[in-house]
Amino acid sequence: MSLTHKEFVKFNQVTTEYQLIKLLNQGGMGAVYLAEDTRLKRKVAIKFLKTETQSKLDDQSINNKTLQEAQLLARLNHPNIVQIHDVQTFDNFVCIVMEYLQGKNLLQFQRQHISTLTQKLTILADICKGIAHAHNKGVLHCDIKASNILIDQQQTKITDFGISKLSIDKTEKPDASSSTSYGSLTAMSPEQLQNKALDFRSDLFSFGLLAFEWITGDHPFKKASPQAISQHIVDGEAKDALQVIPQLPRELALLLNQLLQKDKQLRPSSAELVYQQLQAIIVAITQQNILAQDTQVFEPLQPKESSLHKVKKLLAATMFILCCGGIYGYIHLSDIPERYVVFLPPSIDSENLKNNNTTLLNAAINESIKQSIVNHKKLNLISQSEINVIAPDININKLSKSTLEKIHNATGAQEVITASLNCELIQCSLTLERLTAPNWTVHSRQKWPVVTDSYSYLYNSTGQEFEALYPDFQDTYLALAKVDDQVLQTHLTLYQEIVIAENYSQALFERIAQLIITAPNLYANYDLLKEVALGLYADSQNEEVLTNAKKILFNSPFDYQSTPSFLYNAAMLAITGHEWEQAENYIKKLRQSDSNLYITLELEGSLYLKKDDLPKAQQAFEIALKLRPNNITKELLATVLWWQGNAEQARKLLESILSISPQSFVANQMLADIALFEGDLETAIKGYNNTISVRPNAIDYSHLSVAYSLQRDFSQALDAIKKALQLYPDNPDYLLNLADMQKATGLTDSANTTYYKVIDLTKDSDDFDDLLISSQAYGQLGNAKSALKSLNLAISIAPDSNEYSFTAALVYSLIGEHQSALLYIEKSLEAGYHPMWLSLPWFETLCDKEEFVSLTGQYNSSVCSSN
Amino acid sequence: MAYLIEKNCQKCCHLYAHHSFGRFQFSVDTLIEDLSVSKIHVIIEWSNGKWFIRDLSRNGTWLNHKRLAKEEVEILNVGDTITFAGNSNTTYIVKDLSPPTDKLIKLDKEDNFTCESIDLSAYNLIPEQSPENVVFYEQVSGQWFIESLDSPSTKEILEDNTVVNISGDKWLFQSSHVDVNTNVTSVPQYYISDLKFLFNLSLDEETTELKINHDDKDIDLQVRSHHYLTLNLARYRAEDERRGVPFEDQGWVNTEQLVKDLGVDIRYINIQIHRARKQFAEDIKHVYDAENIIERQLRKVRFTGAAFAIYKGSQLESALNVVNS
Repeated sequence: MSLTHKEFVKFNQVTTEYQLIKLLNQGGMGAVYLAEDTRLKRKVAIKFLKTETQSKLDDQSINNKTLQEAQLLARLNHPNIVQIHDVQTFDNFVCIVMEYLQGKNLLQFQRQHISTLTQKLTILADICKGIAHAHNKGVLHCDIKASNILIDQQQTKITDFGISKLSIDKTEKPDASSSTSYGSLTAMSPEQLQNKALDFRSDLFSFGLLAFEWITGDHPFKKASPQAISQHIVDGEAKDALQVIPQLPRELALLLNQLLQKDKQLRPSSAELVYQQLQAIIVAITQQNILAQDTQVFEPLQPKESSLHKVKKLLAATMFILCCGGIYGYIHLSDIPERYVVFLPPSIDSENLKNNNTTLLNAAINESIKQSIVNHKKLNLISQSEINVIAPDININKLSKSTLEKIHNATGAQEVITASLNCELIQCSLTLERLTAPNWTVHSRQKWPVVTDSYSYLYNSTGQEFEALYPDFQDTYLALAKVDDQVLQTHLTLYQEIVIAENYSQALFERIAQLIITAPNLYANYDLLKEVALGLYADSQNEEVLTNAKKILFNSPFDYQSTPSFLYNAAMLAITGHEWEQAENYIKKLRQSDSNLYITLELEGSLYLKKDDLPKAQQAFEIALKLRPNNITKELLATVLWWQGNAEQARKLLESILSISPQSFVANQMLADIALFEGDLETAIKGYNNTISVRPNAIDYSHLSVAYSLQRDFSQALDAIKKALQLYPDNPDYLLNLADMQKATGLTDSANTTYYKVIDLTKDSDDFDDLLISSQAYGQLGNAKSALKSLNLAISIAPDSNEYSFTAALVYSLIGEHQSALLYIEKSLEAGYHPMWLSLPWFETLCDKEEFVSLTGQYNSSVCSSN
Repeated sequence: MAYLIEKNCQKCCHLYAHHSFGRFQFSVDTLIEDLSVSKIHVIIEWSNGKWFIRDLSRNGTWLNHKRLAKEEVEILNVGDTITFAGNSNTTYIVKDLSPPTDKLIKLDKEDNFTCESIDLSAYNLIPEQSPENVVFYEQVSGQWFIESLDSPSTKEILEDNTVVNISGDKWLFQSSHVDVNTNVTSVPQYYISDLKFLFNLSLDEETTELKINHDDKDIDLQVRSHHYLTLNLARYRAEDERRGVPFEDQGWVNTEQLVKDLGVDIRYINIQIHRARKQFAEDIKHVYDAENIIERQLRKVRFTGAAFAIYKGSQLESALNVVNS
């Protein structure tokens, strides 16, 4: 109750030291006024506490005990406690004169501000410091609640300390029917509500109520009314903080639970201790937030490095897509070990299903789980593409331990998640199961009813239920976005096409770019963007694809840019675009973020691979394999070994992959490539036909064509290269190949036209590969001058003669410079080219040279004998 | 009845004592889906007897075409327009600024708010003209209840956003969110049994006046038609006392009996009971469980007062536990 006007005026007349200015606030115990301290010329706040007696108080009747208490309060001097300056009486009021603060109370602050957990904890820690100080001086608060905390310009201060005790008139005997305790029903400890003796631990309980409610959003003893809440405090148990918000740092949840123990012996033993624990938690969270740093924008582009010879380059491209395909997730290195998780393709029982689009349902479940895993700091997702190779037709209803062992061996997975959607007549339900090594028994299971006509419901609820499978792994990077149905459906359709069907096309790229604009909060889109970009680039070699993808990626929302997912995608794009420094920077950031070492190693390996630093790449992959033995990394290591000339080891590794997963596309492809390089044409041709039948692709067609041509089966070779060109009609490499085959089969006119086309495409380029290509084309056309010009230019760029020696041999051979040709032939053979390569028709002109005949004769080549 | 109306879609926004507007779904009271609107954009709150508006946003809030200074409060007036982030995609017009109360808001066929609402006092007969339901606040438990007049045993708890059916229309219960002083007070609570009831009945039994005395203080509940029922219940109690019925069991009457004795129907009785309770709850302070002046169990009721005197005309008709008349 505030003062009446009369009382207001009277006070200002009677009291000279303070002059009331205006009412600030009306609390339960009394009103607070803004006043001026006339002597010290400063603003103060005066709280008028009504007392219960009818008779007026004067300084004598305010009994000694009250005064003593007031003195005690006035002695509290701490930055987190509102300072009391004076205590006076006026009519039947007790007036507390205190420090004036302009800000808001915590209740208002909570409603008007969105605070992060760290911000909340910092304020709570300050409150705790204040409480600790008072406890040390022997003063209890007894009424800790949000409306008694003031926040003013970064300062947190507790007010109304111990005032509850002052307001109880000690002159009247308390009678049985009145309650002697005073406070807010929902903020009191059990002992307070039961009128028992209080000590400092009651304050801790009330503090716990305050903290719990603010952090979790709900009162820990929540019921429908304040009276019911207070009843529950007395006879019920608090909610478990961990259950309410599983993502809370564990130490914080335990602290909250401890503060809210009914038995005060079980509560923390001092406010000081609580303060220290809060500090420790704040430090721990802040360190984890090291990711939330500004991403620096880097200066673009190193000049393109001279690359490997044409076969190797194309191989690198193929290899890379698969490298990206293998890795999605991240792990936070801490005391909980990293877990590698595999998610098997969901099983959908379509019998009673209303929604016929099982592919989209499948994709919804898939994407949701994938994103959930990726978002968890301690879980590492193994891509389904790794599984598809090993066990293409898994039936999760009939999972055998041996299949799971197989998966474990091929991928290093320690956890397997399965999902199955089953429908009875009217109700569908989704069941997630988590199986763990080494026994592969069901560790946990979540089953819940779902509606199948809403993808967003399916997506969102799957994400939530997944959390429950991993109660110990609750550290995540971002709150998962809630998306609406339409957006999600588009996303899932694209996911289907890009990840499952592995289609990469400009049209798809544009669609994903469009979706990113429409739904910027669905961060999973960026993974799809990277997939399409890298796949598209591998096939087309068009730089623009990478540039556009990067632009879009860097336009992503800020909070996404602080996740490892972003760094990973950025690194991949950088590596593909040969931007070494940028890539190294991203990888460095990933390392700093304590992200999974395995991921970082894989990226480093890929980086060195692209940079052509093969020994370092080998090292990185070898360590990665120790962390998680899996097929994809083996494939990469095999590539690196081979390129260092260690075909034997490479082949062994590849064969070990095939023993686990005989369907491995990449392993088969690489074995074919090695065979081709080594001159084992039969194996090569068989191999390529195999891979092409699984997935027709330009690179393999091109290699197949080369293999046939080495066998002198030019018409097959022609067929094969035409197929490559159907996919990429303007690729100079394939065109050169075509022209060569046309020439070899006697279609001279077509051949020449094609050679001119090749020249047209490459003549203005100073790219090493293009120069080699154009020099060959010129050579084939008989234009020795231009041929040599291009060749010499290429030689001047190349650091290493192995890169160009074979082409040089060819060109010199074509233009009739036999000595030089022979020189380079020797060099090629030294570099490791199998002599069988010499059976190409272009070397025929060398057949009248003794040396050449003897060389080829040694290796049983038929090039000269056909003459 | 405090509410705003949104100009473009004509939707009604009934204000809580502390009402937030913004983009932060599930945390704000009124959601505005517009990317230029901040998560918590503006607050309208009741404080010290007035409604205030406070801007907390990045892109600003305009009150009557003037931009509000951030974090400064302004007093709201009826007719004010409020817009957000400098555009008029969402425009609120202040229609009513009565103090915040718990209320029932009428819903339309699509379950949206209409602008019609009933401000609730502690005890309400709804609809007022021909009551079918009682909506009341029970002090002891801190809960709101709705009871049908025809079947009083069906007591339903009302919580924030509960929807009830009244005369074929849907109504939503919205609590005010006023920071209720849920303080355990140190003021003594009295029981009904501590009170002395004084009934003054006219000779023709047409008018009944009731006064309550406690601690030498008189509270005049005046002349009301519903006192007649209370008086009759007191009579039954006095009768039970004469017959030696123990104190705890005194006063119970079957409702059928009442119907016969008073010559009225059950609905009338229920209305009178509620009117009695309402007046009692509203006018008598500091009494524990005031609305239970008339207690009810399945098919029977009784008067809870333990000390009373009934005067018919100037004659003392009966008295119970009253020392001086």
